[in-house]
Amino acid sequence: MMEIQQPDDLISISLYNVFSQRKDDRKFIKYAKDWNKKIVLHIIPFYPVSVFFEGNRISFKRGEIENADMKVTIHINNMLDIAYGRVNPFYAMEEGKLEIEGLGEDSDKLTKFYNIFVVSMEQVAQEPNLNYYEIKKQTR
Amino acid sequence: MKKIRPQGEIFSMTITKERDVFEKASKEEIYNKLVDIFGKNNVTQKPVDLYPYSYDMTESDPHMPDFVVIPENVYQLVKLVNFANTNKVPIVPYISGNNVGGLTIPEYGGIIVDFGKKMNKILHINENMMYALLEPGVTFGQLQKYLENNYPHLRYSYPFAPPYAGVVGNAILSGMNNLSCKLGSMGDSINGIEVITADGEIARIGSCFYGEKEADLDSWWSRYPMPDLMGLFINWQGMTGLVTKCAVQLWPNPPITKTFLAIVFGLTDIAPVMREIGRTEVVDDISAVSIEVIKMTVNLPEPIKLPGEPDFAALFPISAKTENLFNAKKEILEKTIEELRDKGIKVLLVDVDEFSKLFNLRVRCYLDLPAALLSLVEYSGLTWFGSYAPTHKLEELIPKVNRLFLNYNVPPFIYMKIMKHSHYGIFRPIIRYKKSSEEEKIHKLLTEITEVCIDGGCIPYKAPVWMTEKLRKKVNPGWLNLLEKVKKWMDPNNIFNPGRWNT
Repeated sequence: MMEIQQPDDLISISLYNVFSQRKDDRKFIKYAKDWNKKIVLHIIPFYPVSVFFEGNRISFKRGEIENADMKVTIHINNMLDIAYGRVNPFYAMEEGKLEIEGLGEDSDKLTKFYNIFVVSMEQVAQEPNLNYYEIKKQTR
Repeated sequence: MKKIRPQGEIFSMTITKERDVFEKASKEEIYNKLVDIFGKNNVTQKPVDLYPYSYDMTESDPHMPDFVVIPENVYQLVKLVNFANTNKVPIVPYISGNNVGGLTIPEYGGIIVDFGKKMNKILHINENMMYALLEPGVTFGQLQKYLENNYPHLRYSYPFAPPYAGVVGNAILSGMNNLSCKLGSMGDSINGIEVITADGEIARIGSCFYGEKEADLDSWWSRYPMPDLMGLFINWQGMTGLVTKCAVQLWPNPPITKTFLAIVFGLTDIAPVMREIGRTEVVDDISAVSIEVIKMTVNLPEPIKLPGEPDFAALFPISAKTENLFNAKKEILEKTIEELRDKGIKVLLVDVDEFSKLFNLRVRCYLDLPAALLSLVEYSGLTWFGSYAPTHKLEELIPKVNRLFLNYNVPPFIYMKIMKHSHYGIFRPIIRYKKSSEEEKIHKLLTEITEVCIDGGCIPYKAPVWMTEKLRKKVNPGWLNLLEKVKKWMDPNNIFNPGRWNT
């Protein structure tokens, strides 16, 4: 199980929501645990957030730290397009809609980022059990 | 007398203002008469029963009633009004206890008429002319469920209020719901009412006015064109008569509905966004809240807006009968947002269904109405300056009120609406607080907010008596004299919710 710090800013709250839904997921733990990286995520038009992976703990800090291992920039509309399967994330990278700095030669970084961030968002976005409101008439 | 509330707060037993309720009849005589009218099981004078009726969530001074009665029909109420008028005993209508502004607190004691328990029937739905005829105790949840089960092609509109809040009270006090950008005040959606006046006469107002006996259930279809006597009862806070039936308009329930979320950066830029979207005539409703409110919803009770975060979030529900119509409306909405961006306004438009799944599903409480909103119910106290507002003054009001919140170290909670396609707006600063320890501070804050807002031209609705006292000093004397004259003529013995509007 991953331990996730409860944040107090809007973007981190969203990341907390997404990660929390996978904190017991073996695949998620496999990628996130002991990654020990600092990732800056800047969702435009909001502000950058630094996400820290340390052991089995994920924590957040509003703002961009200087010594980040990776920096990812994406507009929120493009992020929603990827999460909801309208745009392929690799196509988004090619098009410049998803910018990643700091990949270097380490292909493992991209794999982990993809599985921790992108797959988590896709899973939460496309989870039909979260669409309770569409069936409320039958369930109330 | 000291008592302990369940949550451990210490408070005093409430006291009723001086007024000799028993001037003409003793308490025992009144009790016996009430038992005679309503039956023993529907009358109480036990303090333990009376106490919950003596206060509300707000800072309004609590007062104990002397009796609570549970009526079953209008004829019992005619007898009650005749008796109360003869003996000068106050009558205060009550529906579900979800009140603000001390609306049903019996300032001068007397009899609480609790409509919520038995006079809560949906009497008729006219599908053809699309209205519902209701007893006063019908709740939003009840009406919604009834329509979903029996008339799914029809809809009513719902406020940011719990399912147990009353429909009729909301309408006759000019509430605002989730179709208000189209419809305006809910007071405008009333087709007709049945009301008992001080002399015990039953009056039917609206197209139901034909005939001597009971009105035909299918005759409650319009309010016009006879002289509009409805104004003698709407927004009078129960001061002029006892409303016993109310017909409210329903609307077609279109198969396609979707809500968009606008996220606005810049404290005052929300005002032009709301006004311009309102004027497009494509959205059902516009509700905006300070960004702190979104944080309250996701379990941060005392949030702070952090640098870089937006200032306001606004919801724009769209409904349509066909995909083509929906897409056309969506296109207009997106184009208007684009034009606002061109003018330098930083605004983001997203599909709220998509956004809420990734952000936090709790924010859906603002969509799935009626709902008990965490941000409104998590403290023992809740109060507001709820007002109708001139929309051109919003840019002036928002920063002033925001500053007041911050001065008092209270998270800003500004809720706004655009009514009737931008003809007017709603400006409602809301304060949640701990009743046991923060009431004095919060009352000071609310007093300052009230002064700023009244100076800005806002008009409070469901106003508590301390607020109407301030209003009376500001409104023109002719209006005030007319109000007094009408009240005296309608209720010469001041039995209907006395004390409201300082009468």
